Amino acid sequence: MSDFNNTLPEFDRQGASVVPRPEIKFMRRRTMFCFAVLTALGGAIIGTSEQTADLKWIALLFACIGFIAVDWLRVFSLPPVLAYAAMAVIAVYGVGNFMGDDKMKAVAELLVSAQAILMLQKKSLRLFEQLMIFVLLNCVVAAVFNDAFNYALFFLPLSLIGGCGLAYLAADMTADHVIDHDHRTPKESITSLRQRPDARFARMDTRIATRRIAMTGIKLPLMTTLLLFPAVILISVWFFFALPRRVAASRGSGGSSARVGFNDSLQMGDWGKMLQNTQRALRVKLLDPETQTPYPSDGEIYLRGRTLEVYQCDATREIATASWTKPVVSDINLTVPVPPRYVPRRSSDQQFFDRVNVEVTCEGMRSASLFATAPYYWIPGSEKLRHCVGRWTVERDVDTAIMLRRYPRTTYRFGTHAFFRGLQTRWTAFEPLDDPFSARASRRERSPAENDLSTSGAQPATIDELSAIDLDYLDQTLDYSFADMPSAAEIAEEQIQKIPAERQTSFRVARRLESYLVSGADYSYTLDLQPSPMPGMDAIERFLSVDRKGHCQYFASALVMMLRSRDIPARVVVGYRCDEFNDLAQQYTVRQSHAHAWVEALIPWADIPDGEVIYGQPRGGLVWYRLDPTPAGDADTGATAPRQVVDLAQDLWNDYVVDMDPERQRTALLQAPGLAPMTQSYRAWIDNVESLAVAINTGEVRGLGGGRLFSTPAAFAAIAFGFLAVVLIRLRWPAWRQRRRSAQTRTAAPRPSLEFYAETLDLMEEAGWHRQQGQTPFELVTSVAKQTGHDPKATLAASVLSPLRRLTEAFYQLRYGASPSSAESEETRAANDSVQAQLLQLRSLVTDQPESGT
Amino acid sequence: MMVGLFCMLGGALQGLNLLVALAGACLAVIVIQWRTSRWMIDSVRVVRRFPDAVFAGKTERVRYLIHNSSRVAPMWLLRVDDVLLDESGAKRLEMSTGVGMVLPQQTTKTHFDLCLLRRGRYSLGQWEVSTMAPFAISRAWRFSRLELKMIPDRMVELRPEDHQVDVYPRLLPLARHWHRNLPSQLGSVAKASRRQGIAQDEFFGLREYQRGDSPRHIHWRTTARMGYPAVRQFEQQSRLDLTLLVDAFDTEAETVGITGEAMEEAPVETAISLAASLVVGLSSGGHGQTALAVADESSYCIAGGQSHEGVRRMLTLLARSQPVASPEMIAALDAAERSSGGARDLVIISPRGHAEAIAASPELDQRLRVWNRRGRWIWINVQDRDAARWIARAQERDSDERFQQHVA
Repeated sequence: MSDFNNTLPEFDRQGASVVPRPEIKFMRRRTMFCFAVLTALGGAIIGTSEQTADLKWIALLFACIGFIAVDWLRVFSLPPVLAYAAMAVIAVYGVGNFMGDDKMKAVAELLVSAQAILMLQKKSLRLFEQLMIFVLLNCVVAAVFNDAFNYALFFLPLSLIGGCGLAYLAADMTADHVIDHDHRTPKESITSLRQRPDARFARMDTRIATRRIAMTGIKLPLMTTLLLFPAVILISVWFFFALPRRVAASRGSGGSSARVGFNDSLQMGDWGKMLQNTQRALRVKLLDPETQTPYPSDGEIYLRGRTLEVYQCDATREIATASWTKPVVSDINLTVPVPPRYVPRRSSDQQFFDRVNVEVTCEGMRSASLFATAPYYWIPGSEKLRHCVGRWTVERDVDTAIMLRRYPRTTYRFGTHAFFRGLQTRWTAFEPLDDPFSARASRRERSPAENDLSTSGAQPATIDELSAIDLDYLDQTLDYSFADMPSAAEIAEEQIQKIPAERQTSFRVARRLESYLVSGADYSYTLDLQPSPMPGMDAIERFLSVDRKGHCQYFASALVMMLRSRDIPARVVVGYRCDEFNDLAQQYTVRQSHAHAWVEALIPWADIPDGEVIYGQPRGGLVWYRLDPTPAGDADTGATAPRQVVDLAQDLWNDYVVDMDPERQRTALLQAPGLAPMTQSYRAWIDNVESLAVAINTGEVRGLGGGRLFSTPAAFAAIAFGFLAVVLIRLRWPAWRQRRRSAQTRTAAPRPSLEFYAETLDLMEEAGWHRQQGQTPFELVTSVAKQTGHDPKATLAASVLSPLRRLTEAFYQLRYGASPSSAESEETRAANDSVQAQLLQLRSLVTDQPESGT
Repeated sequence: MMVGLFCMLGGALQGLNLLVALAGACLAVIVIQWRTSRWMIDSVRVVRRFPDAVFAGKTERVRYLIHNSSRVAPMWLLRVDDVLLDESGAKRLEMSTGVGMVLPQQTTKTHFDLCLLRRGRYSLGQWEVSTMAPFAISRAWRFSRLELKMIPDRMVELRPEDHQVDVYPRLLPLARHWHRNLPSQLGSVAKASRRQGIAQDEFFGLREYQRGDSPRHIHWRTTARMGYPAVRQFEQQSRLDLTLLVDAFDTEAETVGITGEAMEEAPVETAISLAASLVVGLSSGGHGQTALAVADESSYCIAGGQSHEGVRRMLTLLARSQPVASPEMIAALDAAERSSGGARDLVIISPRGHAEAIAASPELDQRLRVWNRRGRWIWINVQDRDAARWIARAQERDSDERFQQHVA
């Protein structure tokens, strides 16, 4: 009957070694940390928008304070009553803000302040849930606000940590529930509402279970990451791409901070900030229309945005404010659909220009202007564009543009003849403002062929043939006031003197003046303008005579004025000059810092020197010539590899997440940027392999075997390789397998019931001898005895052998020999004593052995 | 979920793709949570092992075997909630334990230590296995469908009575030489002749093997036929050395009813506990045959030997006894006499004095006088100083103290 007393587990004996508290504490702190990070990230995602950029610091600050002071150190915590009161105050404040202009900002502020209050409270399960919901709301608000790539940057870690946080919370709650039923652990629960069972009725100890859960909880991240996150990502991606879209993708209302696009007026000195901004403005992809492969272009490309002709300067202020605008006459600002492709009369002309299709993706911007390389023509995808007659610039179709002050991101295409052998032409044909081809032809339907034939005849040959409107326009491009800026004329005069008089054509003059400014001998490029007050002085005059430094706007303005002082019509062109080619995506990445101003001068056909190539556009008459007077500044040296990767990621995000619409949904995955070149390289590889196979078949390859069927080196190589393979397979593999198998099958032999023998086995284990399952005690002795040869353990084995043998004998005797009833006799007691002595000896032998013995 | 729904609607209606992405993420988490937790709960198998003998005030270990029947995936953060109801159903003890992780096709044990403070008959409710893994969004749960019991090497369905648990009375530490206080010198020469062997017992029947039964009693033929071990049971026709009689007298029982604290404090509980302690003490000492009679509302007598079963039955009787204001002492004495075959030695354990009991029922005196002729009897009043000869210390909440020490 002794079972009743002895078989029952004793509380103290079992419980003493179990201390679950540290694990639980660690686990809980980790959950709290996770949610603090989550809160900070939620704030950061809200802060991706420019209007709410400050909020992220608030969120971060309170996340830190909340975690360190409230959760970790427990310095203080906001009592619920106070928290509710604070929430009420914030709600009132939020409603007040909501009446203002920026409703989304008010919502964002409200969310972040509520999160801050939550972070200051003592955490409970409910609080964690609330924090999670607020983070989700953060994401929602940010998604409505902002679709910049920053969102993706924060959203991905946020979802990862959110998942982790939830997984931790699961472990935490499970452990907590079990702790709740434990009467020994002091109550420190996050699920504080539950009552403990009546302690007068029963007591419970659940610490071991708690500890196990905690240990699993600590190991949880790996498991969850490995098993579940791929599944979650798969499902969400599937959901995202499979959800049928009924409407076109719309953009966040907030718009990004991109100052892309140019207004009809340009303030001088306005660009300093923008030129330091590396945010992306455009993506430009050049494609060969025949093969749809990337067109190999060399060097930089100029994308025209606006042409500005009228210079105004308010010199009465301390620092003169100058601006360029376009003429206000309505006829001059005519826009028509994009012209059709120019087909030259002589088909041989086609050898002197390349047809290139350009695809431009333009970020959201604040003006209707878009960017193109002149001369351009209509191809599918150009529907959204309007051609500005006489200027060769494009802008959004008024119908498609949203009649708002902000214009959304857009993608458009056009064809161009501007490239020849990878280089962009500097020439743009003069287009009369009342050209029947553009202005009138658009009003009546014509076939493209008819257009093409008629275009060449429409070119005015000289200035005398120009219409009144054109002359009026050219007048404005000649407007120059010597009184305001004498330096321009003087410098121009000075430079032109260096050209022999008989060669002073307008083309040479323009080139001379351009190279004078570009050379940087007297003028330097800077973005850092800190003008001192100088009332009454024109901005260009000041640049030319006083400051002698500035950015492209100043150089371009100065050159325009110099040209005009020599009666050469000139205008400022603003747009982008880009040389950043992304090899991964095979496209140009145009940043805000690539914004540029340059000059176009009108050159009569007669002045064009021999050797200049002007094809792909109407010939004869007058031609605009691009001049870029800006010396090279310390511009960045193009895209680095990581930046290219980031750009590509951003493209993918924009194309496949932000702009997912019904059309793209159908064609998804076939047009991924970056995928196209990959497909090509894959194709090229396949082609190579095919041609190689053909070559091998025809016996053209003379490699190792020299084209013969049998070759000695190849045979040797094959034999060596085969031998190596056999060695690897036959020798190494069984060794691994054995080790693995032994690891699987090595189970400890059951522990003997006799205490002293159990300890003996423990000691032997410590010394390095394991009793295998099925090995009898005598077999163990024999195996130890065998090692007395030259084994490293030999000395130990020899010394251990004798006590081990005695102990084994005693074990046999007690286990199988003497009956249990006589256990009390004097004889066995004496035997017991000797057993104890042997055990002591063994113990001392094993514990005193040198480390190398084991 | 609401946020996800909002995102989905907003995203789909307005074409805001970021909202759709957010909705996708929410949805994915919900779907994964739902499927994973449901799957875990469906493929988990739980077997409860309640200890065989539960004494009040003593910590027992309730074990659960949790088996993952899935072939591929592990399951984690499982929680097992169990319920223990007392006889009246008024008291309900919710028990909970959990397991961190179970690998595929593996079984993990988990347990909690339970210390019930009151004797009595309890019933086990359905266990409920649940999990909040992986994302704590919802809790998947399942009640026990089929209660299974582990018979060596196989599982059988439990009978309804197997859900009943008897919590035996608290065991008191007995005084050092409590044997000497017994009316007869046990272990005397006479004992040897009365020793019972198989041959002298009368075959009573066959029953299922239970833990503690001697392997010698296994009826092999039946075992082979039934597929589970069966043992022979014997009715022991023996004269007993000693009869214990518990006087389950409680004045408050009728008026107050049994409530937790009152029950623990009541002297009658001490008497019952002492009886249980003596039963266990006598059984473990090899002292020969003992009979136990309990006088409460009605009277019972159980004659037990040194077998597990006998002690179990005695303890069960004590566990279930209901103190009353006027216990059936005479009937109990009769029953004791009948079943013990005229045992001479009688120990009456009572929460009241001898005189008090006789005052309550005068026939008792006469009945005892009759008894006197055959053997000796003693009356232990647990409220008396006399009790100190039996109980080592005044009853203390020793387990409670250990509890407190632990917390400290």
